[in-house]
Amino acid sequence: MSRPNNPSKVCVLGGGPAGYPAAFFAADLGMDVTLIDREAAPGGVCLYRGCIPSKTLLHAAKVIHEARDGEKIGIHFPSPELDLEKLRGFSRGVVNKLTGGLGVLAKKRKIRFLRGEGRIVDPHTLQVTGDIEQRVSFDHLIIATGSSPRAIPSFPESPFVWDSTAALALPEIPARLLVVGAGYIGLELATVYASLGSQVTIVEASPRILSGADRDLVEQLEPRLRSLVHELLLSVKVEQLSVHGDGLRARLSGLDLERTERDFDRALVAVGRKPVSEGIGLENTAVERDPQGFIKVDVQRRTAEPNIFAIGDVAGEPMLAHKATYEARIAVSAIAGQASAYEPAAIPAVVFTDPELAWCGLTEEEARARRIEHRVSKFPWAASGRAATMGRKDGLTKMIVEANTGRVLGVGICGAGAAELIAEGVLAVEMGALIDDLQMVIHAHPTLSETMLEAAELFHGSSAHYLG
Amino acid sequence: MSSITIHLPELGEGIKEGQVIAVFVQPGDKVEKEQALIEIETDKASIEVPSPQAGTVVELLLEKGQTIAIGAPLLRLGPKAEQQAAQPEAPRATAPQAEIAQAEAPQDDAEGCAAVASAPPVSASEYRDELPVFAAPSVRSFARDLGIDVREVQGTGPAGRISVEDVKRHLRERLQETGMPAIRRAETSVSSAEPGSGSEQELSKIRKLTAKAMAQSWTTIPHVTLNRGADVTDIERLRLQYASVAEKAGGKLSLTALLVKVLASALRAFPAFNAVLDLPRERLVLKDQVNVGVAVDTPRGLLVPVVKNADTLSMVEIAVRLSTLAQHARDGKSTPDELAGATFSLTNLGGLGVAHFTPIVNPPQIGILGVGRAQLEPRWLEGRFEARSILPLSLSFDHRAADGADAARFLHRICEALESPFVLALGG
Repeated sequence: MSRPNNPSKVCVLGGGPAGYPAAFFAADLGMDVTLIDREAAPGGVCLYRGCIPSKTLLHAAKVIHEARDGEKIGIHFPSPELDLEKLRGFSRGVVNKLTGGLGVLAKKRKIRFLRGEGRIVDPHTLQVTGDIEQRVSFDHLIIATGSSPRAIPSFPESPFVWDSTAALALPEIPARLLVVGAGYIGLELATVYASLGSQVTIVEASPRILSGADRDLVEQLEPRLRSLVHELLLSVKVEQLSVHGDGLRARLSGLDLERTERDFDRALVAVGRKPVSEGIGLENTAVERDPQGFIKVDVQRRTAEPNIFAIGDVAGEPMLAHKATYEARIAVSAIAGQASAYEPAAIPAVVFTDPELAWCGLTEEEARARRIEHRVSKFPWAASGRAATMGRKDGLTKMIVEANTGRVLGVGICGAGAAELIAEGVLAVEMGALIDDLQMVIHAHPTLSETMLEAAELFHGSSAHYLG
Repeated sequence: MSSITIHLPELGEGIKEGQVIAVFVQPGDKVEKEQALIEIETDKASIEVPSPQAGTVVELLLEKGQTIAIGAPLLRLGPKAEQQAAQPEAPRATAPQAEIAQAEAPQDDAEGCAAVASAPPVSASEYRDELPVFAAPSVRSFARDLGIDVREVQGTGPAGRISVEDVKRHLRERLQETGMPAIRRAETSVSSAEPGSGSEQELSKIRKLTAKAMAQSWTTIPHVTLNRGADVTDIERLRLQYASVAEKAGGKLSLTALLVKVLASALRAFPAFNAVLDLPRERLVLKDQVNVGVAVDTPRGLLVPVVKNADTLSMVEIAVRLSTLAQHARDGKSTPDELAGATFSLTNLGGLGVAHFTPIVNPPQIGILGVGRAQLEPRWLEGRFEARSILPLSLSFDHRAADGADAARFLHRICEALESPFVLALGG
């Protein structure tokens, strides 16, 4: 690789999906890069305690479901037997392979990787404590300290009460698991544990699951979720949670709730994440934070301290790995003096439940709230040939289209494989595609991607397989 | 919460942006319809922007000192305070907002209700700037590299999508408008390089604009200046004789007013000088109206208010019009319209003792007439020398648009009208 000569000394604090790409991009531009993280290798929450391990476990869940669904088409498997140690090993193996790979990539780029905690001493110096105590000076600092699970203060501190990190370590398969929060983390982990044999009760304070997604998409997911878990309680709060014997006792409150007192073996708290912006020495800089603790940044991710940038979860919502990586490129380009700006039109949000749910750009509910004149085109998967071959009827592909121009402003998909399918929607929204553009693109048959084509066709009335 | 975004309205022909020099309201302030919200300084005038309707300021979307374009959001205006307090926070978008607003706004308060109910449904243009830019990321990046705000680019693709070609065209147009590339190369900052101490003065908006316009004129227009003296002895006598007529009408029959009339009628007779040069299209665009811009020295800098249709006005009408325009300019109260649309310019430095000089053409006009101080000179008339009052005239013109002989004939026509006022009366 040719390395342009760029003498800038860049320090990256945090090695997750914001920090490690930032370090890599900066090194590729010839900058002198130091990457600081508390783990042995880059990867951060995403690889160690988030996206990656949860997907390995969800993959296991999928295998179980597919085997079970085999009955419907005449393939019978005996009940699955679980070798928990081996499953943990698979998950750990994937994590180690990926983080190890990142470590090698960092080394090949001649990035100085320091394991430890970094603290800003002044706007040009970091104090690193860890394997080796040292001071690191920098021209530019990129803060990528990420986020941590939000706890409920009134809940007891107990090994029985898990956060997502604890749950992903798969310590055991509890007989009765309480999941507090029906956001994407709560639902994904509920899916894992229910599939592995736990009796799962999901409690959500708001009247709906996945509050950011459109209701009609969520409705595709809800029946299967309800059949998978023991109970899904909406508009219900956990008033109290206490250790009771070798389990937990929860007192719930909500309308029409039959039993308010319930016993569980373990509880998982998944009520969101909060930025990690304390204890890193921001007080020694001009860097400003908002009331939620997010670091305030401009369009180039520059903080109030001109040589310090912040990216990823610590720089604001949405707290998603792919948004963090995108910001890494923006910030490094800005440091390199290039005109870059963070102004995405579409950030995909993906929930790896069964079926999967994914959306990008504007949701229908947002369009309505912001009074944007729009039309919605929906194609139900019951009319998809490919979905039929998979034995799945649940699913919906929808497009939110600006009324007078036909411009695609948002795409939402619920169904098997939605996580992969949304990419076409992201491209359409980001490129400013018109609904007619999508209609005039040939989609492979028989695939689920045809649901995009048919939704586009339905905008003008009816599609090949659906009379609107 | 029901609120609408107030945008910077059209301020006059040719005005694209301005600098916010004052913000009169704060979030929480109640404003009445037509109440001034901000003051904005545009090319040559400062304008107070009134509120299009009554309401309460929810949020300011600009800051003092910021330069904003026509159509830019200024602030968000909510219903009047009483209604706002009575309205609970709208639930998170489960029902159409319009229904909520209608259901909850009390029907008896007509004005407050109007503010709420008239907000939805909005037309496309009102939310357009809230949508992501209608351009692919590569196009946005291309524009960013060129320092162009891609939102200012007019898209010509399907439904108005912006392409790389659109960005290039926008840049080309902007360069033609301002002639910036030549100037940009010439502009180097001296402050850091220059040794020695001194004090710095920030350039006023007018100074900056003048600098830009003059540099463009000087670097792009091949100037020629013709000097000639006009015998104004007789017309000056008449002017003083009839000054009281104009005074009664509220104007001052100045030499400048008289020159506007003379110049306007000469322009009517020589339409090639009342024109704009469109080189890219290889056209000379003859203007229908004769609008004479008159340079006025003001405390804030040089302003050029325009006497529109000067050829159709009587001398007294011109005198009255000019007095008003000059007063507005000196008080900093010129409207954009008063400063726009000149087809030719007049600049009089006679009051300051100057004789001949070389005025600079103000593009896209192709000429400017400079006037100096009249001097008594001996002239050979009817067999003897007479002391005559001779007015120095300096006609600068764009040699790309006209030749010296044309300009000499045009100047001759002006002098003739001054020396024999009867020519004017003949309707020439």
